[in-house]
Amino acid sequence: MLASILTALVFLTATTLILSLLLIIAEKWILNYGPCTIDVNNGQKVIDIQGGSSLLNSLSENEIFIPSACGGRGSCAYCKVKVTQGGGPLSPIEEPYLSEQEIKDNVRLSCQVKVREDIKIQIPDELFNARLFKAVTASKKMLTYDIMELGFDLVEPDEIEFTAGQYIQLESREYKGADSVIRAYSISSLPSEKKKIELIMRRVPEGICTTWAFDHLKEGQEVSLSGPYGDFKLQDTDAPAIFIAGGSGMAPIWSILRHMHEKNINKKSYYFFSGRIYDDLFFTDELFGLEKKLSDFKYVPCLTREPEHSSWKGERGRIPEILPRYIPDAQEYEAYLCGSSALIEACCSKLSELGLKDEKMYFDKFE
Amino acid sequence: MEPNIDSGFLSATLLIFLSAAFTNNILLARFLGMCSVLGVSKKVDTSMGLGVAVIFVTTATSGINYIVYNYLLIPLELEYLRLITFIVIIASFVQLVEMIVERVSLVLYNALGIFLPLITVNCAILGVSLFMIGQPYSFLEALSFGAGSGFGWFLAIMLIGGIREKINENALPKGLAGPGITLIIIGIMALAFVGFSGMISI
Amino acid sequence: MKQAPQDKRLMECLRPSKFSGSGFMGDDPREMEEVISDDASTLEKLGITRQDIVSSLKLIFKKAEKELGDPVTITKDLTAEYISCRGKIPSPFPGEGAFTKDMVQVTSNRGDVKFYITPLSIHLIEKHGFFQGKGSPFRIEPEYIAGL
Repeated sequence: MLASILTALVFLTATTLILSLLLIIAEKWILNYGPCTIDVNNGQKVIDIQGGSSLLNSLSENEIFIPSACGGRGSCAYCKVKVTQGGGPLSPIEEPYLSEQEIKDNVRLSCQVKVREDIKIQIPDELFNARLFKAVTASKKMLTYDIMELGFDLVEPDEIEFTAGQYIQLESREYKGADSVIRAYSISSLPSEKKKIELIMRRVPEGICTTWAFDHLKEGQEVSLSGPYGDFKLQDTDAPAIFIAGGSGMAPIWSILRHMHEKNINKKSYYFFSGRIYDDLFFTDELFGLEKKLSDFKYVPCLTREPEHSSWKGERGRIPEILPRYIPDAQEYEAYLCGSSALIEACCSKLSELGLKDEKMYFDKFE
Repeated sequence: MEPNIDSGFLSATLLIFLSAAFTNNILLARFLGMCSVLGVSKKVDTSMGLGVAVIFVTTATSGINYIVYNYLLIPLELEYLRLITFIVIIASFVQLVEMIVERVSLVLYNALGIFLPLITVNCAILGVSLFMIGQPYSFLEALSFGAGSGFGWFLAIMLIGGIREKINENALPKGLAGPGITLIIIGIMALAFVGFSGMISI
Repeated sequence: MKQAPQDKRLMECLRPSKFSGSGFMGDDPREMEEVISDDASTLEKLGITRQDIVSSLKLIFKKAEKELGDPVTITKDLTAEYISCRGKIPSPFPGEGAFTKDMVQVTSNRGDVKFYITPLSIHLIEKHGFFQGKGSPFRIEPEYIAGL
């Protein structure tokens, strides 16, 4: 009797033990991909890592921050990189987010690529400079009824190198049931002010990040952001420039214009700002002030819904209608546009009519 | 050269396969594995993935459990521990297979591997092993019984998936939508499968 | 109940997420399939097709988009206004890609917001007949649209 109870006990313990051991060993052995290397841009940087985690995570652990908004779930398709060797087959999660051309070019979603062997990737050079920053909210200033300027003091690292026109990714904190999210905002402060970052934000109905920033973010609160990203910047030419942006799209242009002043970059330039009513305008005095400080700059705010009898003396109407009056022939110009794709498309087709070449149009599209 | 295979033996194995798949369909005659059927049979392609995974796992685990039962439990006179032993063996086997599949082939993993966690603890698979030892099978016959049961389950979930895809397009009374109508369909299909009963006895 | 991994992913995406603060289901207790079939039968009763609704929504969207933020009148007491937003939002259905977050806000002349039209919500109606759950800020009531 006792013997049979004992055999049963011994048998059960032994079976479960052996099976658990087997599973533990299997996990160590089967799922251990050993040390792998990630070769970035043909040897520009070679990273040694333990295989097994996603390419996105492996890179961010080694201070290369690929933009990503969904946190590695394969649904935002921001984290695209070129994997030239060792990426494994395309997963069904990735496929729908990639165009045929991208598939041909070996573009992958880095969050869905698991590092299982030595891997070679290509990323834009600018991503090398992107860092993860800790910062403290220094100021929140309402510029209009729905647009706010947000200032951050950088803490760790305490300085940032960027080009006027680039953007950062801000991470919101959780609040009232909303997840922490990552969203992109253009930098409006100057590259020479290395210790701080300023952004211009417009309140978005039901927007997770803007609601957080407008209603929940307090001065003094710590935030994390990464950057700089983006290739929207002033070209190194003598060609006259047309800047077009409305609302919070002013951020990169506000940075570029002041940068031009600071660095004595002299070129003929126009800035067309699109708003509906007088209350939509901000930095108006400063921008008109720049007309005197810059060699040949004109600020043209265009209002579409300003009541007719108001005291507004500036332009009324939409930018595409007003453009030809200032620039009848745009052949020599370069255009810098920031805003919604609808605004950009409308302005671009007008600019092409006026003779501006497609390759001379630079966008910071809201997408 | 004439292959020297006992035709009686072959036909017995085949008969076991067929009877496990049709007359004793694990889902429609024994009503096992219902939970995953209700949850996963919304579409044919997911049904197919899960079905194939089940075929593989039932075949393999009935083989393993056959060996464990006949060469460990019976000599040790521990037959009454079969339930718990089978559960542990099936669960670890499925985990192991998931790891191996992930390592060996990502394509296979994306098609089948993702379904494996769903059948780590699945009564259909346990049921197959338990029914299998109730019969005086040889090892090959046991394998055939496992494969047949798995195939029967695969067939059933594919049929249900197909019917549900059609039904999803129609408006249903509130209380019936989802699991309700699925259970009714399964009931009607089970009636049809009753027609097979008695055709082959095992 | 056990769920296929694909369905699980879809359910996760329908709930409040990193992309949609309040989720696509709102506080609707029904399953997504029920929302779809209920709205489908509403449409049938009203005698209009999904395509009718989609094309009128698209029309309003295009009209408002062209005005770049200026309100456009769409009926006697409704105006539509285009709001540009940075970024894209992925469809909760896996593998359908992402849609720009630009939206058109439709307001009554008394100033209260009636509903929003987004490229994603148009897509969800067109492809899946999914008008979103009650309580989702971007739900479009088929009855209301039909009345226009």
